[in-house]
Amino acid sequence: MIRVEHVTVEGEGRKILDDVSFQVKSGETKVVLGPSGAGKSSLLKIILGLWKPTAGAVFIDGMEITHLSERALNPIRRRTAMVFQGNALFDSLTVAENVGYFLQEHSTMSAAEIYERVEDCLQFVNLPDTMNLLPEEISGGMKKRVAIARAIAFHPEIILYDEPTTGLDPINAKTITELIIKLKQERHATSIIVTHILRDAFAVGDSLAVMDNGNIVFDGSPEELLACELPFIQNFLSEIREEARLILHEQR
Amino acid sequence: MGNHSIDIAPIRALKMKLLRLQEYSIFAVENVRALFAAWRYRRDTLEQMYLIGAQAFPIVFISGMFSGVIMAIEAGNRLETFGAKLLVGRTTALAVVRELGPVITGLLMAARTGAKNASELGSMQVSEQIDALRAFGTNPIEKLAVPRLVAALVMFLPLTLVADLIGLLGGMTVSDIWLHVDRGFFWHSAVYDLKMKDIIVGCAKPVVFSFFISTISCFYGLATTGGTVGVGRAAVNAVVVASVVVLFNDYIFTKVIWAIL
Ligand SMILES: Nc1ncnc2c1ncn2[C@@H]1O[C@H](COP(=O)(O)OP(=O)(O)OP(=O)(O)O)[C@@H](O)[C@H]1O
Ligand SMILES: [Mg+2]
Repeated sequence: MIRVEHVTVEGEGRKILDDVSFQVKSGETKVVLGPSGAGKSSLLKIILGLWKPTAGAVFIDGMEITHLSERALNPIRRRTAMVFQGNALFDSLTVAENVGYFLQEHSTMSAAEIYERVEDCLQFVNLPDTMNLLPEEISGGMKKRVAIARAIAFHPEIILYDEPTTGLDPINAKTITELIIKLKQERHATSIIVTHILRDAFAVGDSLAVMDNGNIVFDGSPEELLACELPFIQNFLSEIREEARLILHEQR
Repeated sequence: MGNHSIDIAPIRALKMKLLRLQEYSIFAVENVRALFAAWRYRRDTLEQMYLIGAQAFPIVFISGMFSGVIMAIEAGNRLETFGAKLLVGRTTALAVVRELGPVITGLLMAARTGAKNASELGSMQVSEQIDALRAFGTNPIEKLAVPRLVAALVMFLPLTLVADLIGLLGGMTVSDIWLHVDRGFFWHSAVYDLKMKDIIVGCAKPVVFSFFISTISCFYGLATTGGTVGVGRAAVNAVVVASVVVLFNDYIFTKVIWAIL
């Protein structure tokens, strides 16, 4: 379970997050929506302990991580994966080394076992035959998929996706969305997915949060979001309201 | 209002500098405490030894040769006017082993290794690769800074010794050609006059320089903010500060440690 309590983050004299509280239950998939600059990526970095909040606290499975040192954070980080918005692939390592990085670093698996797992993961994101390429030798959309393969390779219990489908063609975007749904159903990973694509949000989210200007302006079920009267939400949804209704209907 | 800002700006700048110095000191101590990680990340350590050590031999070779040659010519010319050209071997040896070899190699490494470390780690920082490492439970100091530090600690001494040796051989050759000082005599007088103290100081310098060059450049690299411009700034700062620290350390060695030994 991830619980964020009254978190405020200040950067360069401005509030990036302003008294944000929310929680994600174990096994739940929470989608975070919001315009550019709302503070979505910052929220994920706070949850991983990469940034320290100026006020407030973050709890993972009941344990407060806000003031933990890097070393003390390691046990939690070893159960958590993050897909960075800019991928953040290690550019001096090959695709296979990127995907196998965590296992190489922390597991007792043999090289052959790691190789097999890496192969599976790359198959999973529809990228066979890229193993020995460097990140600079593959396209933007392929990088995104490598980043996802790297995040899921060690079967994390918590996965934070920062815009996993942005910049992908519709077919691969669909594959990734299906992959996220599959991971959720098979492994019951607790996930937070930041996305701009409302269609994906309705397809994968158990609950949705909408951020604006460092605040969470809505947090609830997809149905509640569609029924929400706030002008900001109305505006935000105006384009896809009918489509979202259809997706929800299909799912139920 | 105007008066205040004039009074306060330098104080704030000084405070920032002191804060930086404190952060650096903590970073350097963490490097030392994590030194054993070089074994855990031995592949990275070996790779760094190759990149910052083995690959630097050509430039060190050339600079070592010229420093010895120039020293022998200058000293030879002066000494010859007093009819003391036979002292050229001793003079060159002392200058090369104690000062020119270590300092010129140190400055070259401050530029070469400093720019490399700061820009590599800086690019990794601005492209969030450092964050990704931390997210995977890897300590960037252990994985990135310590292998570079150990590689420098190991490689700078042999590099300096090569510079010394090539410098002496270069000095010997030009003395023979232009001053007609016999090669054998040059070599003997050079080696004979070198004391243990000279050699210890000449060998201790590169080790100390390597520590500062590596930790300073990794510190600036990991502290990079502000995109491409920030990476450039980190590289420039790393090279400037590391060079000044090399020169300052050399002064300390010459003035203080020499007196104690
Ligand atoms: N390292 C930083 N230092 C200072 N301010 C930052 C930093 N990173 C982001 N910000 C600021 O924080 C705010 C939120 O940024 P964040 O990246 O979290 O937005 P986002 O919701 O993820 O946007 P996008 O959808 O464009 O990715 C922005 O106004 C940005 O200017
Ligand atoms: Mg973002």
